[in-house]
Order: sequence, then structure tokens, then C-alpha cells
Amino acid sequence: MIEKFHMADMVDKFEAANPGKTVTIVEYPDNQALSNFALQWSQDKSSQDIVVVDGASVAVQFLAKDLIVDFNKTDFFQGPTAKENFVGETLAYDSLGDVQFAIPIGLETYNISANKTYFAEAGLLDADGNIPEPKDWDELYDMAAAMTVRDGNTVTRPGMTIQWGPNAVSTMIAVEQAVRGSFYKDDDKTLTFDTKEMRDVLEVWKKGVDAGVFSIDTFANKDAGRSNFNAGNIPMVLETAAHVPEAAPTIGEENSVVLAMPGSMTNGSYGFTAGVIVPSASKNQDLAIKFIQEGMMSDVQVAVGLEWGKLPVIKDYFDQIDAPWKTAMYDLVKISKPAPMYRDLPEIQVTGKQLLQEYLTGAKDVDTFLTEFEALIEKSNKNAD
Amino acid sequence: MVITAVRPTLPDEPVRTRPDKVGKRRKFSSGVLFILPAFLFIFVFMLYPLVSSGYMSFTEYNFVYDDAPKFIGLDNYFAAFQDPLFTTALRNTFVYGVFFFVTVMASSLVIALLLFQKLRFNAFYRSAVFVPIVVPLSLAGLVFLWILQPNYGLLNHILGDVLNMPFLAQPWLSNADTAMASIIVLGAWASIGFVTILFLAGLQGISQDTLEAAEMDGAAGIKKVFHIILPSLRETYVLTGTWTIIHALKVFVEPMVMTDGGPGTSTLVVYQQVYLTAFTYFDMGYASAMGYILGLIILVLVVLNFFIGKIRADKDA
Repeated sequence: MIEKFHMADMVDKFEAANPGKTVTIVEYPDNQALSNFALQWSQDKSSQDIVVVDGASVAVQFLAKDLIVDFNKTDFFQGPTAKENFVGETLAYDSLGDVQFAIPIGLETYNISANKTYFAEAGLLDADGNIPEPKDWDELYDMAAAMTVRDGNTVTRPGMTIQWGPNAVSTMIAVEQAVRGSFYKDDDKTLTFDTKEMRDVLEVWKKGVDAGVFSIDTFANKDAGRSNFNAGNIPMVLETAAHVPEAAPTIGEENSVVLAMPGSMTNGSYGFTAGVIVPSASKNQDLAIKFIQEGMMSDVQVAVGLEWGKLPVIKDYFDQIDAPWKTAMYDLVKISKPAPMYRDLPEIQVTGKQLLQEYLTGAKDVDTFLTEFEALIEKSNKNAD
Repeated sequence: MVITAVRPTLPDEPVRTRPDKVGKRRKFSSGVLFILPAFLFIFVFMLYPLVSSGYMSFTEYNFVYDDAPKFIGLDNYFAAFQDPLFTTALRNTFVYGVFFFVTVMASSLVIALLLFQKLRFNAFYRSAVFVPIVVPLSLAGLVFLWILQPNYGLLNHILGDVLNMPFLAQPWLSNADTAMASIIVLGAWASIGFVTILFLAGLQGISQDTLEAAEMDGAAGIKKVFHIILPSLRETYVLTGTWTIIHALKVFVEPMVMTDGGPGTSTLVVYQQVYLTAFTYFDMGYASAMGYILGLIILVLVVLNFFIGKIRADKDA
């Protein structure tokens, strides 16, 4: 994350403008490290002044016991970082009620990153040389099947990789939002996957796994889809669409395109941002906020967007992005929805992934899978405090 | 004038002189100083966490949401045995443990017996067997991850393109049937070297006279191995057995790096579930109870292994 967000540049910028102030960046290995931080914070101690979390919904749990700062109660939204200077509804990704628990950085959304070369080879491009949007998952399956390569009975190149690893539940949320327009029950707050639309998708997924059309590499290696797409080895990958600019240097800017998964142009997908949080136990809160304002919300965001597809959250910098994928990506971001802000979201993500993988590998039928998943959601704590 | 006062002593009382007392006290103090670092280390990093997590296992405590642990007796222990994730993880840990134990013990013993012979390039073979020990397990896991990758991995390439048997190629880590086998192979690969060294040390401890006498009595080759060498390794079996049981049941890195417990829960092991419960769900009380259950199981198996070894040794004696 340090490299992707060009954090060294942010620090240089801030230190140059604030002589005598030093910012030290420390990388933590994964989200589990946050538990150590939280333990410290709950004892009113903090060895960090700012923490950047990947997927700000993770941060919502720290609202309990006021472990993190509510930016609405600070001077953060003054001057260049006033609320009206943020792109669209960006701030809503990291707010709950009237609490702004994190500052978003890098807008992303789940969708299909596609390599046009393979579509051309399979004769799937339309008369204008574009990839036609699949109307439903059956059509998407057919496209993927047409690009799947076999040697006898062995699949040597699957048509598509779907993120079914640690972020499998995010994928389900994205797909359901696209095909149904919501991933909630009628009460608009209880997550559900037991819907007709999602059952149809799950059936196609299972068929794709059985036929080798959809690869299951991500079960063991969450980066398998991304690595293979960036290396030009697979036609499509469904996870964050930020891989499109990331793959451009290797597969060519003209070949690396965002392909809207069925329904996403109308209903959106799953949108997310990294979140910048400040622990309440930080002794340097004012300086931390100054660093976020001057270092993180700076023009460094332009380079991050162009290189890694993480769109700037500040309007001025967003407008400076000039890339063919920008409009398509932003149109999706605008109508996409963040993950539910549940206290037990981490447990839903881990156990949900396990259940989905069991269904896809045939260890569970669709009814058992959905019944167990719904039971998991039912018993989980859906509050944030 | 000089007055010398001498304390009267009883005839059979040993004469104690002042320098002796000081010496003993000094000896005692220096002894304490010598063991103090080790004691502090054991107390701070082992004893205190052990006692603290033992207490925690009887409480309900989510450290992000709860202000203080709440004592709930044995509820966490009862809950664990009704939790399908824990029982699945326990079953997987045993499956891993049994195959790991048998593979490591048998392979290490065979390799040690081969290295015990006077072979050419013996030093090279010994080094080669030992090399996996110096490779960090997490790094080895990443290398295995690439070797076992279904479409571009080395193993499937060899099976399909070199040996011309593409039907044997598998998505090794994404298939529930082969994922557990794959992590057992990694675990065994990383451990066989160490256990081989222990067996070699045991073999070198067998008296040369015994071996020569056996040969003179006509026990050579396989006969010598089964009737003289293997029975002489009883103490080594206890040592290697204990080490292997502990390493088998506390498996964590291999599934964490290679499969993340998947596909589904097919390679989910107890310590992974403990880790998730403690550091993802922040439920320290329940995680401690699960850790303690596995700790007690390991303890029982180690003690069992020790007594079986001892009973056999006593029988032989």
C-alpha cells in the first residue's frame, strides 16, 4: 500500500512544507495487525498517529468505545479539504450516520478487467471493435467459454478468474448489486444472498468451475487473477477494476479495458476506498490531520490514479486524470455501494468465503450453502457499536 | 590488649567459619543472577501468558467491544465442541498430524539409515537433507504455491509436458482432495532434515562393539537393521516422536500461506481458527479456550508417547 499510494512522496511533500516535522511510515503485514493497534488504543495508547486501512468498512468496528477520531468533530473539512471539494458521494463510503470515521483515499469498484486481444482472437468484438456488454451471466459464461483453451481434457487457459479468495464476499456483494440493484433485504439493512437473481448467478458460477471456464486459482492465491491478468495470461478477471490501468504497461493500454458485468451499468457494483483513520489515543492528532490534508489529499493522488487505477477523491486531482478508462470507471463508482457496516463483517467475510468455496467445489449444494450463509448473517451482530 | 572471643562449640557440631557463610551467600547470589535472565524470560514470555490466557479461556472478552473480561466458567470449552468450525479444524489438524507423523518419522528413519552407511559423498547428502531447515517456512510455502499453480506451475508442467501425462495435472491447492496432501508434503519437506539429524545422532550412539558382535553372529543387512539397530533407538523414538507430535499438531504456517484454510474449510487447522478468532474477530476468551484444548491434547499425546517409549525400554532392560 505504501508504494501504491506513493506515500514516500506524500511524506516528502509534507516535510518540505513543515520544517522540523518528521513522518515515519511503517508497513503492517495484513489487517490482523489492526487488532494489535486496537488493543493499544483501548488502553489509551497509540504508537501510530495515522493508520491507512484497505477497505474502510474494516475501520467501522473501531467506532466502538470511540477508538478512532470522528473527522466531523475536527477542523479537517476546512479549506481545500472542505466537503464540497470531494468527488461525488465519496465521503459517504467512510461515514456512518453523522460520524465520519475515516477519510477515503483511492476510489475503486469491482468489475471486469478484460484483455481485448483474447476477445479479438475469439471473434467476440462487435463491428466497432469493442467488447459487447454481456446482458446476463449466461452470456458472460459463453464469452468466457469461447476463450477457454484446452489440451485434451485439461484446461490450459481458463476464460475468466473471479475473486473467490479472501474477498469472495465482496465479489458476491458486487455481483448481487449489479444483477438485482441491492444486496439487502426489503428492510434495506440486512444482507442477503438468497434471492432468485443470485441463485441464477451461483448456478452459472458452479457450471463454470465444473467446466474449467472459471478458474479457482484465487482459492489458494488471492492475487492469482490479478497476476495472470497483468501478465496477459487470462482474458478476464472479476475483482477491483483498478487492474485495468495496472495491466496497461504489459498488455497495452488499448487492450486493457473495463467490461461492465451484467447489470452493473444500471445498478452499480461494490465500491470501496482505502480509509485514513486517526486513533483517538494519538497524542499528535492536529499534526496527523494536517498531514492528511497537506500530504495525502495532495496532487500525489493523480499519479496514484494513473498508475494503479485508484481514483483521486479530491475533485481538482480527479479532473487531472486523463485516461481512457476514467469515465467508465467513475460512472460505475458513482452508482456503486459500500459493504454493510456491520460489527461482525470480518466474520461474515471469512466464513462466507469458506461456504462459497465449499459450494463451488461441490461439498455443499446451493440450498445448504445459502441456508448456512443466511444463518451466519442472521446470527451476526449487524450494529457498528 | 587484644580480646579474642571464641564461641564455644559442641563436640559434634561442624565448625562454621564466617568466610564459609559469605562464600555460600555469594554462591547463592551469583547462582540467582545466573538463572535470573532465563527465569525472567520464562516468566514474561511463557508462564505469564500461559496463566493469563488460561484465565482468559474462562471469560467472555472481546477486547474491542468489552470493557473487561466477564467470567463464564467452562462455557467457552463447551461451545468449542458444538462449533462446527472448531470441530472441523480439529479433525483437519488430526488428519494432518497423523500423515505428517507417519511420513516424517518413516522417511527420516530411512534417510538416517542410508546416511549411516559409508556412502560416497556422504557429507554432501547430509547437507542436502539439512538444507530445508534453513529456509523459512513461509518462504518455502510461497515457492510451493508457485510450483503447484495449476496453469503455469512447475509440477503440472512436468506432469503434462515433460512426462506427457496431462491427465495427472491438478489444481493442487484449490482441490479439497489434494490441498491437504500438498500442505503435508511441504510440512514434511521442511521437517524431515531435522528429524533425520536426531535419528543419525541416535544411530551414532549405538556401540560399535554391539554392531560388530552382531555381524560376527551372522546378523547383517536387513537382519541387523531390524534386530539390532532399530531396537537400539528406543530413546531416540521418544525424542523424535515428541518433537514430531508437537510440530504436527501446532501446524499453522503451511495452510496459512498456501491455502488460507481452503478450499472451504478443507485445510483449516486449529491454530488458524484460534488466530482468526483472536485477531480478526477479537474474541480473546473463546480463542484462548480453543488454544488450551489443543494444548491439552498435545500434552496427553506427548505424555503417552513418553510412557510407551519408557515401558518398552523397561521391558527390554
